[in-house]
Amino acid sequence: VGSRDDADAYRLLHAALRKAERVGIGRFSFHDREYLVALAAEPEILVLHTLRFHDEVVSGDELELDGSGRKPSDREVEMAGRLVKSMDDDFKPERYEDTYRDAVLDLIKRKGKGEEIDLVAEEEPEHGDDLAAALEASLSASRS
Amino acid sequence: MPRPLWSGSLSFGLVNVPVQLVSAVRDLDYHFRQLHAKDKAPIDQRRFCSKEDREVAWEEIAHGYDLDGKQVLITDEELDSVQPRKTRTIDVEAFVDLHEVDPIYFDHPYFLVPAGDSEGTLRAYRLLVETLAKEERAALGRFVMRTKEYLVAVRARDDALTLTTMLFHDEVRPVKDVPTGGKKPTKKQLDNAVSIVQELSTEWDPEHYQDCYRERLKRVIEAKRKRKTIEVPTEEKEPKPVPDLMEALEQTLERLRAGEDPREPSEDGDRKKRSGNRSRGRSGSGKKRSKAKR
Repeated sequence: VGSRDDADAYRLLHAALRKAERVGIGRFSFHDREYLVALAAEPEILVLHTLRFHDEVVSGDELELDGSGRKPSDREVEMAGRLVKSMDDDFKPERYEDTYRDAVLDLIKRKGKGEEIDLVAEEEPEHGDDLAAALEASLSASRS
Repeated sequence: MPRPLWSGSLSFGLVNVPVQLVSAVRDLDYHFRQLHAKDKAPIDQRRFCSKEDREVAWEEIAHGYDLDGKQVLITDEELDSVQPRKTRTIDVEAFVDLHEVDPIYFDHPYFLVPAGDSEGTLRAYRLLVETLAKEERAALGRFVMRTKEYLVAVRARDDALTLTTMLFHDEVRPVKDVPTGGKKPTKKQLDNAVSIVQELSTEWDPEHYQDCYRERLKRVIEAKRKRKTIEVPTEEKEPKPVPDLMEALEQTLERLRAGEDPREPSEDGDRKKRSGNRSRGRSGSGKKRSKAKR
């Protein structure tokens, strides 16, 4: 956000980035460290995203994932693809609310009134080895 | 492999994949210990009860929440019981095209790795990686980690699943709360500015950008170890706001077209020579190098 003297330059940079359809890459120091940043022009404002330097990002190879074992079958891949398509949606951020925040506040209020809190036993989800059957059941559930 | 920060399962439809969460970012910053300057002894942190004025052990410490002046004590077990499924399971709610998601929502990147090495787990994990890559979709879900709920996007990258925590929409400050202003630029100004952006345009290659501050800090620490005295540089001048926007634009363009660095001051030829072999804080090396490479 620019001070008054710089407001015209701010507006110009904003307009130029939008017209050129580019983001600016730069760096600056803040709180005793250097940041690589991307400057993006959103409809009404410049947004500064801090980025990570490439050596700060862990690569997938370092995870040493076990690639052995049976590959998913064509049928499983096909069914999983259908399941993904059946749950495909536009991203609407307003649709997702932090319900946990309210639940914690509710817990605190109940505890504050001296209520006894029920400690629920943990339910372990099932990890069935029959992948195809689980996919099949999910697909028929999503259709109904 | 990095230490797991959370373990549970990723669940879509009736398929459950046991997974662990590891950070996709490593901390390369230099960290300093607090020492007593006089004798270099490490500074110790101790917790004291403000009422009894005696040191308190970790086991005796509880979480309290200030509810209108009344302190309510909450235990970890009670917190776990709030929404128990969410603390153990990432439930996939939808699949979305990640290009549709405004990057302002992205918070921190992690990897999801399979937990355990059972045949079923590994195959279900592989299936999800392949499916997300093939369908070019990310899975949206939520879970709770360390007493906070997160909206997350899970996608395939490097044959692994990455999970990015996201902000909830009400955590992002609305633009109308931020003042912006200024005059609408003239056509000539805009054309010039766009030309500058185009002159400086290059392919994004993360490896062109090094953390120069970290490098300089490393040199300072090395020099100190060898007992050299460190020269404290004089403050750099703050860039002044440009009195004439049009003139600044034209000068920048001229220099870019002549292959010069537009950030160097022009009226001081002597300074320009010196800064060639001395890396100044502001002149990042990334852009120049990437241009040379093309």
